[in-house]
Amino acid sequence: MLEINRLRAGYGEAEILKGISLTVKPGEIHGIMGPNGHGKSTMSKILIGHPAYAVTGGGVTFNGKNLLEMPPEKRALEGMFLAYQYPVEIPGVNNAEFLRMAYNEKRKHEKLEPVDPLDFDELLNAKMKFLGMDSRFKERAVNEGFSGGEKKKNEILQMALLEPKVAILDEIDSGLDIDALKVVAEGVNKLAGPGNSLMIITHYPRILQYIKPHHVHVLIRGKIVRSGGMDLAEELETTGYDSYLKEK
Amino acid sequence: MAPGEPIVKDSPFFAALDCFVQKAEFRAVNEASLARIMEIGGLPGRKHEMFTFVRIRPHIDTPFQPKFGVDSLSCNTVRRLVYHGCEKSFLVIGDGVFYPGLSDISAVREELTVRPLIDAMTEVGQRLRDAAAATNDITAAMNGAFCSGGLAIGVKAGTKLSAPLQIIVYSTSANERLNATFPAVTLDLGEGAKAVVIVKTAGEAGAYLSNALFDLRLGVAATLDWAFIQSDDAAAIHLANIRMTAQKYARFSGVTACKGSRMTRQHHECRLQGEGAELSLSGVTILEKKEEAHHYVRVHHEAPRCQSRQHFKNILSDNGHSSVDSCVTVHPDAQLTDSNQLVNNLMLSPDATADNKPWLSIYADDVKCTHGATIGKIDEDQIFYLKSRGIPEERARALLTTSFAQSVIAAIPQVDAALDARDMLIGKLEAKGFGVN
Repeated sequence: MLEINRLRAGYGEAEILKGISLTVKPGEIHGIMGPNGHGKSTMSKILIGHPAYAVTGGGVTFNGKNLLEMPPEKRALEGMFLAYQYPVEIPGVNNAEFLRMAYNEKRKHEKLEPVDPLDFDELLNAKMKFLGMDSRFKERAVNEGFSGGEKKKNEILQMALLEPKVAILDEIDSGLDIDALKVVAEGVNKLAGPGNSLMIITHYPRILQYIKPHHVHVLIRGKIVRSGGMDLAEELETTGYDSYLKEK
Repeated sequence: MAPGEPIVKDSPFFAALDCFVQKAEFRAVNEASLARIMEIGGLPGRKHEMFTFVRIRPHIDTPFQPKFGVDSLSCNTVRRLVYHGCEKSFLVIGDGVFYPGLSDISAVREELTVRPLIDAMTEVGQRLRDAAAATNDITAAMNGAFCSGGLAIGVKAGTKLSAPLQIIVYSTSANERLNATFPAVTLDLGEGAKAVVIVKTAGEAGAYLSNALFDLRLGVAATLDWAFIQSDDAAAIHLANIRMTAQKYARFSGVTACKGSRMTRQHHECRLQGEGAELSLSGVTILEKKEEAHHYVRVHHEAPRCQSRQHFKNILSDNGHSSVDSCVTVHPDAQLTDSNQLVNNLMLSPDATADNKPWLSIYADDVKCTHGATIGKIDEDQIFYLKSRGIPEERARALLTTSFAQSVIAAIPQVDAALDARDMLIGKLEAKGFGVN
């Protein structure tokens, strides 16, 4: 589904990703772990096409197509999704209207008729109920004044509506208390299935207790230095990243 | 004395005065205003503090024909301007004159008094004269100098209007001359009275000068939800002076939506005179081509524990020019004042101009006052967020641009007026390729 091949990328003059290779197959959940500032979020931004980052080498294919040649909106329509670490607030834009617009863009891409506001409202209510979200989030401006947990839930709501093939969850656990973390993780688990894949980016292993990954990768200084299974995450819980950071 | 240039005897102003047929009821106001124009020092230039951002002179020192009453104004034209929900509660001023026959207030007849201004001058003449004698605004003084008609509205104490009251101010244009109209409207809310009032200015295609005065008085604990929908022709000169005084615990909530024109200028002069009075004033303006819209706002906190909130938003494209010059003055007795001012400008063109001057003049020592202004382009992070959800860039830009205006439009206290403002303003953006749908 997603094939990252010796990807090198940077921000301005600085090279941050120094040759990452990773294969994500349908139905797989990958945990990408590592300390702050070592390239995890950069990788997610590169994959969704953020213009501030430049690819300097390697390639990425997504369902056989060259992902890096696609503009960001095309990537989203093809099924690439990022749940942001810091979702942007958009004052004045009604959350429900924004969600309907995004949903209808996807339907248009799939050559389906747009849904009208009433039908969409029913769908939205069902998805919000599924995620245990209060319906008042529909009428508020996108992420404006939302608490950290509410923002993360709103990201997962978008994921539930857009049903991406590959969803990258960037530090979805940051800023969440334990109860909110459980709710968000339950929502993500409900959305995981054989047809889609998840990449859980985190520096803290706890989220992986709730969303069990098939593969865990350690990203240090822009490179994947070790890959393994859930046991690797458990090992990191006790050892931390120190031993990797000391390696030259 | 403010810097100005004396009005010379052969100026268009005096030419207009020569053909002005004065009505006896208005003589005192006309004369006091004329005297004030002379005291002010004539026509203001750019050094005049009140017109720092506005080149007003070419628009008022121009040949014009004072006009009182329309040659023809059909019921159909009026009906198109009446908001849904105001079909039995609207008043029509055509070229400066109130037309009872074109108006319909059957839904609220028992709840208010409505009279042609000329019939109410015994009661309101003195206050119009006093205000004329004190104004520093040449446009207000010109309204007084030529004022010959309008409306006097009263809502009795303890009365709540059961329907929103709409006031339509309609102007006509003429090919051979610039029609100029000078209506005045007084609105008095008695103690505890409540009303929703919506002013809509509109006119024929072509140039005209509409110079209107609104004198609003809110009694103790009265509530006025006020909206002003300026939808004049792009060639029009729209000048409006809105004076508001609020007594103890009165609440004024005003929204002004401006389409802009060759020259649009509104002057709000608001006085919170009684303890605990509240003011909220917001504005939204969308300009294109060489359109202008200027807001000059003065809010006077004259009593303790009053609150004022101001929020103006402007979206500017092409060579549009807006300004917001807003001062909150806190008088010595106005302790525990709570006031804020915010101006946000969204620039869609490098050739557009947004002048902003939110400022404070504080003479009390226990107050909370904030003021600020922002000028910017569309936030690229927001654009990217929307794109990363599959929304194409042009639709993302359109959504963010229209939503910038939406929060003020949504504050308009009547649904159909809000829809009208939305169509009027967002329609301009859609025509420029900022359509969301």
